[in-house]
This record gives sequence, structure tokens and C-alpha cells, in this order.
Amino acid sequence: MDFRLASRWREMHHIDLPQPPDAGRVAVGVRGLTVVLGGHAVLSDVDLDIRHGELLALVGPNGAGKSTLLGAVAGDVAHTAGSIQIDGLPLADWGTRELALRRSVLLQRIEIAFPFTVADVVRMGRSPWAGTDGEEDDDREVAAAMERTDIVELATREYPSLSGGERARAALARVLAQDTGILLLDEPTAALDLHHQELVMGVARERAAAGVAVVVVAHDLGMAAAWADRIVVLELGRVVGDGTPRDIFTEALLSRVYQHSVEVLEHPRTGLPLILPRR
Amino acid sequence: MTRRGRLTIVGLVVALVIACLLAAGIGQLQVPPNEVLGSILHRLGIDILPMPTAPRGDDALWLVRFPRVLLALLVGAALGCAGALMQGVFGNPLAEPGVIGVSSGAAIGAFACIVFGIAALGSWTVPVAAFLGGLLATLIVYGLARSGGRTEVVTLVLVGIAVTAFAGALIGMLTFVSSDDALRSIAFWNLGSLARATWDAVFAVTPFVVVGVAVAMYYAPQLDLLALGERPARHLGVDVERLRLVLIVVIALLAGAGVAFTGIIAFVGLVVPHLIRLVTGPSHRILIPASVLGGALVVVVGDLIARTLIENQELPLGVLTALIGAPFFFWLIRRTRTRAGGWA
Repeated sequence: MDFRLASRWREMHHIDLPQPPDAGRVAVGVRGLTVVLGGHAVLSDVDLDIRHGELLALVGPNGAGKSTLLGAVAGDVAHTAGSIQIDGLPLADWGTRELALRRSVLLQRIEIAFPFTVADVVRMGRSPWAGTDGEEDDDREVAAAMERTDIVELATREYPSLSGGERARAALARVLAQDTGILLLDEPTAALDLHHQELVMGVARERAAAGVAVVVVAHDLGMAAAWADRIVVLELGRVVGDGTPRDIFTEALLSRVYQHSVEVLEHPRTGLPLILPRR
Repeated sequence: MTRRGRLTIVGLVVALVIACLLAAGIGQLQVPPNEVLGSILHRLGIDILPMPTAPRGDDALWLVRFPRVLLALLVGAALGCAGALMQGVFGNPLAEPGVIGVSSGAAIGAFACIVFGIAALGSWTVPVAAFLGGLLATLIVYGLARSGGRTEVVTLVLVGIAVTAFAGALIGMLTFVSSDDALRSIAFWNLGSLARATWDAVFAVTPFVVVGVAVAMYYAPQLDLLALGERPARHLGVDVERLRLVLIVVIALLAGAGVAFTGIIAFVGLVVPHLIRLVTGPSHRILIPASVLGGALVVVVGDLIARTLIENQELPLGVLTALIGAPFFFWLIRRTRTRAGGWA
């Protein structure tokens, strides 16, 4: 190929590779975020800074706007007012591909149209890196993600033939293989048994320790308390609590938000808050 | 590319070459394959194999058989590729050109020319009108199905059905007002046949098929990601809207070009990608080139059968493909349904 053409091609397809995440830097900056869907304000005036290296659990009752907030940060849900910045740049200024190198998203349900194998599905997570230096890590990242989510034996199975819990782990492996500095997980443990719930939260914890900004939407408050650095409570589209699990998980706040009397006990050995509905 | 994928591609290429040599030689005038090859090499200036020995055998090959076999190859490639693309774009293994209005639009374009005797572009008028009709119908469906900058598959398919119904009414009107001569032409076009193949048709279709297949190959890896759904595909860096718009135009190009000179040859775009998927798995990197080759093979062999099955008679190819394709498709549905997962 002609040299000038080759360089023009590279220019056209120039991809800004992300810097390795350094803990403490703001990964996602949300200011005055308002999302109106069908005339109803699903999110109102949300302010939130999510930093690299922290594991943030997003909690709240059904319909509080957790998935919408995650969708807005992921770039799927258009916002009515306010702003979202990803690694210091407005969300809209990032190209689709550049965004894919910076944040990965695990949705609640992943159906696949054709019977791809589990190994194929996990490898799809590497596609944003195609043609970059990161491509060299493909095999290693795929193997590591499958190992870490306990799906190595499922590698040659067809994804549609898996059970709900197996699918959830395969989908998580795909998201981990994407190897991004921001990880958005919408109820990653919903379909999982106790062992795999702990395994998944342990993976999220590891990623945060490596400098990744991890957001987990969670319904299990005890699990959130045990694994997260920071809890953000949403109620009717507003942030009503933001702090450490110990500060946020109080009987007064939880009883009001969930409209159900809640007991908070201290675990006799670990001292972590145990959250139980009063029965 | 997997070993199995490579083997499939190589096997299809070999089968296609053999099928083309046989199809060129078999008919009312028989020319053995070595003489067919000899005639081709002679034109390239290489005289190592015998020339056709039958009277006017060389003329028959170059004037009648070769354009017909080549057009069959191109139309089959276009239909196979269009089918594989359409199923990928809509994430639905049951999608076919009829669903989004390509066939109906192409039919209206061609019928209008026949009925009103429009011949502005000479012998190219009907094919060009068919192609434009297909593209226009597809763009209308796509435009109506978009809302908020995005296209939901269900909306797209429903609008496609509405447009197809409207087109059906227009075709009925055209049939009602047309003369007996025009009716015969419409019937021929509707049944699908390669009997009107010419070198002009071959040269006209070639660029469409080459460009269409090249673009399809370029986008094949992104189609794999689209199988995860629109949002996950976007999260993995695919510009879903652009991908879909480009590929819909390519589908209309391929299906329109495939239909224009030969009429409606059904089920090739549906059955071929299915068979390939059963052998090589769903990855579009293999599925698309294999469907191009497989579609070509099916139409070349199908046309050979259609013109030799009954002596001195020619069966319409479209009828033959539908006769074999439809029951085969039922079997495919059953088979895939009973396997784990099936089609969600």
C-alpha cells in the first residue's frame, strides 16, 4: 500500500488508547443528571463522582432509578439535563470504540441470537482492542477471565444451552476480558448461588484493588455492606445516601427508603452490618 | 478461522468449480468437462486440452452456457450473502429478503415497467427498476421504523409486513390492468428463471455482487457482536445504527441485483446460511464467505437440474428451489427447535 494512503488510513482509524487507571482519579463525573422518560422524571438532579479504585454499590428499592443511572453512564439512556464525564471528557465526545476501551457494562439479561460457544462469547469482549497493541493480550485476558469466573469447563458449550447462573458468569467473563478502567455491573449476582455470588463480588473487589472504578447495582444489602467501599442509595430518582456502609446502613434511613421496618445488627465476629427486615 | 471453517471454504470452492464445468457441458448439446476447460484455456491462449468436438460446440458454450452459468453463480452468491447478512442484522435466523420489503419493492419496480411498457434504458430497464424498487422499499421501511435515532427489530419487521401488504395490493392492481402479453412476462419473472441470461446481465450484476460481498466481509466481525443485542454491541464499540444502515443498503443491493435479471428465486438466502451454520457454527467471518460460495453452488446446480430434468422442457428455477427449499426449511426448524436452547 502507498505510504500516504497507509498513514491516512491510520489517521482515520486513530484510536486513543486509555491510560492505566490510577486509584483516586475521578472516572465518572455526574452533575445535575436528570432523565425524563415518558413524562416521568426517573432521575432528578443526581450528583456523583465515581473514582478509580473504588467499589461502589448502588442500592435502593425497585424503580428508584438504579438501572437508568447505570444506563445513562453507559451512554445508552439519553439524559434530559445535567452532564456526564468519562475520564474527564463529556460522554458524547467519546467515540463508540474509544468508550468501549474505557468502560464495560454487564446488563441484567443477555440473550444471544445464534448458538455461539462460551469461549466465542468471552472473546467478543476483546473486540474493542482489535488492531491495537492490546490485541497481544487477547488470549491471556480471555483465559484469565474464564478462570476467574469458574467457566473453564464450559468453554466449548453453546451459550444458549447454559443455565441462568452459567450464562451470568459467562457474560461477566466477557465484560472482564474487555479489561476496562470502568466496570458497570447491573445485578451481577442475581442469578447466582451463594458460592458464585461471593466469587463474583470477590472479582469486583480485585478489580477495584487494581485501580478499576467498579459500580455494582445490588439488592442484597448485606452483600453490599460486606464488599463495597461506598454505598449510594437512590430513592425515587434522587441520591438520599452516599458514604461508607457503616454510615449509610442505618435503621432509620433503610426503613424509610424501603418503606419496611429494617433491623441493622452488628456481626459478632466481623463487625459488619447485617441488614434484616423486621419480621 | 477454525480448521473446520477452512475445510468448508476449500470444499465449497472445489465443488463450485466442478459444478460450473459440468453445468456448462450438460444440456441438449453435450460437451465433456475436459473440452469445456479446453475451450476456456484456448481463449486464454493455452492449447493443451481438446476443443469441443460437437458441431458449433464452442459457440454454444460462449454464447449460451457460460453467461448462464456465470449469472447463476453471481445470483446465487448475491442471494446467499444477502440471506446471511439479513439474519445477522436482525439477529433472527428466520429473517429473509421478503421480511423488510426488498422482494416486494423489486417486484413492483419490474411489474410497473412490464405493464406500462417503460423501456427508457433498453433491455436494462426492468432489472434497474427492480433494483431501485427494492432499495426504495427498504429505505421506506427503515425510515418508518426508526424512532429516536434507533431501530427496534420488532418495529422494523412489523413495518416491513405492512409495506409488503401494500405492495401486494399494488401488484394486484398492476396485474388487473395489464395485457395478456405483460401477464406472461410477469408470470415468468415471478417464477424465477435463468433462461434470459446474457453477457450484458453478467457484466451488470458483477460490480454489485463484488462490492456487496466485500462490504459484508468487512463488517462480518461486528455482526458477531450484534448477536449479543444492540446495547451490548454498542458497549463493545460497534456503531450499531451505522452498521445497520450500511448493511441494509448492501442487502437491498445484493437482493435487488440477484432478483433483477432472474426473477424471484426463493429460499436460497434462507436455507444456505442455515446449512452453513450447522456445519461451521455461527461466526460471520466464515458464515458470510461460505454462504456466498454455497449460494452460488446451489443456484448453479439448481439451474442445471431445472433445465435438464424434463427433456426439451425447462422447469422454472424459482419453483424448483421453493419445492425443495420449503420442506427442507420445515425440517430445519424442527431440528433446531429440538436442540438445546433452540431460537430464543
